[in-house]
Amino acid sequence: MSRLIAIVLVGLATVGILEAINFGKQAELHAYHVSVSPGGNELLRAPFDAGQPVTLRADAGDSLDIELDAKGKEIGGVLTIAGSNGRARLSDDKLLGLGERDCATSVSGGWECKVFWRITKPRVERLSLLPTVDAVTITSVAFSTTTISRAPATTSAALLLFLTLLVALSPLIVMTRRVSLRLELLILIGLSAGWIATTGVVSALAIAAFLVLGYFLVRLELRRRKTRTSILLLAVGFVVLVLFYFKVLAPYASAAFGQTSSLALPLGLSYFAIRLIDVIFAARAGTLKEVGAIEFFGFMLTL
Amino acid sequence: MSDSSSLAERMRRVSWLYIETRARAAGFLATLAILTILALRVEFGHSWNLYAAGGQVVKAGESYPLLLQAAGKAYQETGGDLVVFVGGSAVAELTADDSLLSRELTSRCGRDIQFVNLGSSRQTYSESWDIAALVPENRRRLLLVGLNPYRVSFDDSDVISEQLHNPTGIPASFSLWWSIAWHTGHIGSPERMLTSLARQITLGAKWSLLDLLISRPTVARQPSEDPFQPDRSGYPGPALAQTEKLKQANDYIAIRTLNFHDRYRAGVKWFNRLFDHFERPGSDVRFVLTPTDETFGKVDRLISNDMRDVVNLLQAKNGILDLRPQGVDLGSDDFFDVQHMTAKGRAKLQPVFLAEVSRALGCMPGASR
Repeated sequence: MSRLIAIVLVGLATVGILEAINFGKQAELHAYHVSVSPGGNELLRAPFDAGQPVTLRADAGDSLDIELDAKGKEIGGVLTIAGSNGRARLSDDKLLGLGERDCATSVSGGWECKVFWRITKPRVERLSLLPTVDAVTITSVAFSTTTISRAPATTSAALLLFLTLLVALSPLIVMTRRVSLRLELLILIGLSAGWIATTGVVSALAIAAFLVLGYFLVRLELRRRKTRTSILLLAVGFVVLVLFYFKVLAPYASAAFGQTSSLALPLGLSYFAIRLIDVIFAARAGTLKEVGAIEFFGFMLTL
Repeated sequence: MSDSSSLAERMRRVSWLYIETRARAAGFLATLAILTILALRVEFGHSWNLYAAGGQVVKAGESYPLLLQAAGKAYQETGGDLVVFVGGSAVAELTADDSLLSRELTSRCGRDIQFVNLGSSRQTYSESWDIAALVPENRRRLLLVGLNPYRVSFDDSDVISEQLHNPTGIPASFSLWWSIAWHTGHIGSPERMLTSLARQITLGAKWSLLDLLISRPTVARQPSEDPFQPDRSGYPGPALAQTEKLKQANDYIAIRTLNFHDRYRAGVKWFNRLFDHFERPGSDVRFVLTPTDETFGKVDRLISNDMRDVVNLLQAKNGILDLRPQGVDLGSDDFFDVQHMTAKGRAKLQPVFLAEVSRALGCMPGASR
């Protein structure tokens, strides 16, 4: 049993290391003071440093270019902009200044506004800040990540395509049943495995590892000579631990570090977990006497 | 928990598909066939355009329903050559009433020409492609695609995200679905009609379930009272003051020029893909660079190098209708703002526009067709 615990811990540690590697990828904010050159034929961009206020003048066409590189992740966060001596306007027409929504008076007597910014595309996104009337002084711009969308395991489009394929193939699959039930099962296992594989190699490997370990735990339960609670606890504990990791620990850890997980929630993990517990309890109760590998994977993947 | 002693028995009791008899198999296949036929009928039929039929109340200025009506009327299986103009609001505001331009082009070319302006506010690249893809295959067509810095400022992620975002209610096309899948690896939803119909219903279309299967006869819309102030126009008032236009130009510089500079190469690639797809015998594509107010000169000076690059990168080197440097004396009264024309401006530009389109149709000396 200690070997099994070691296997579980090594598996979880591996996934944890993968996640930790991703922790270095923090969202990066850059701001530039943009102005038109005296000749009018060039756009000048000077980096904006916090602590060095910049005054944007409307007649000169000045603006502040705020760029956020979310490292390809879908994130949301609060953009905090501080300024004085006038009001500013974001490119989405949101007004910033004293008396405006989500704005407050700062300690220096100016204003500080908070704007929620959501990044949905895997590229550097940009917001422009302009003076509303004559001029405005911007003292600081900062961004803090607050929400991170976990990468979806699949899309509705992919699901629809797979179901369409399944319906189209269903007459053929049913025909194979007349040849051999085992053949039909193998085809269905192949289709399901292929479908899971399309959601990503890492997710597919995680599911495969989970099912293989689950299969050995069921076999272990079937081979027991007498009722031993420890095996049952180990099996159920394994399932619960994996679920806890993916459903609770990883998302909370990612949010706490302002990061998104590199590993999408493996497709159907909860479903597989419930089925595995069902089989483990059936084995323990004695209503399940035997289990072959193909039967097991067919049961888990195709019903 | 079950009493079966093996998983095989448990699986057999709850089989994923109960087809154990010939009668059940026949029933399954018959149901599958009927549902498939109905789904294909809705997906590939011409009944998607709820606004094409009569009984729809559309007022002047309701640009999206008007666009659907115009497309429904123009996209008939029979008729002469079709000139389809797609693009953003600058395109929608560029030309006079479709019926007037159709008459003028027919007169110049000596054959039946039907002109339809299907420009719309913030029309995306995807929408332009989807509108073009609906043109009946059996009609000769000239596709005019309006371009400006904003329209070229997009990349792969924009095309992917906007594939099914069609504010006009035009359905997404399979050809764009395939092009996106081929060039980016992104597989979009193969279903295209539900979002289109849902959008038309939110726009106020009157419909019944039968409309999804059987298309109703198209009803022609009356021409606009003032041919140079078409119903689709969204800028009926007097031109903005110069100071307002200068403010717009400054906004344009702050908000759009950097995106244009960063993304135009990706945008041009997609427009070249559009050209490759729609340019073939009986189907020509021309890119149209639309004119702008003199206050836009401030922007032009900043982006001129990039715009020159855009023109060079576009494969359709001979297929660009540049309406900007023409000899038309367009003044500040001819533009409502920096890029949308007024009725006066349309009237001034019309001779040049007609000449360029006639040339593209092969009806003028020096014609390219």
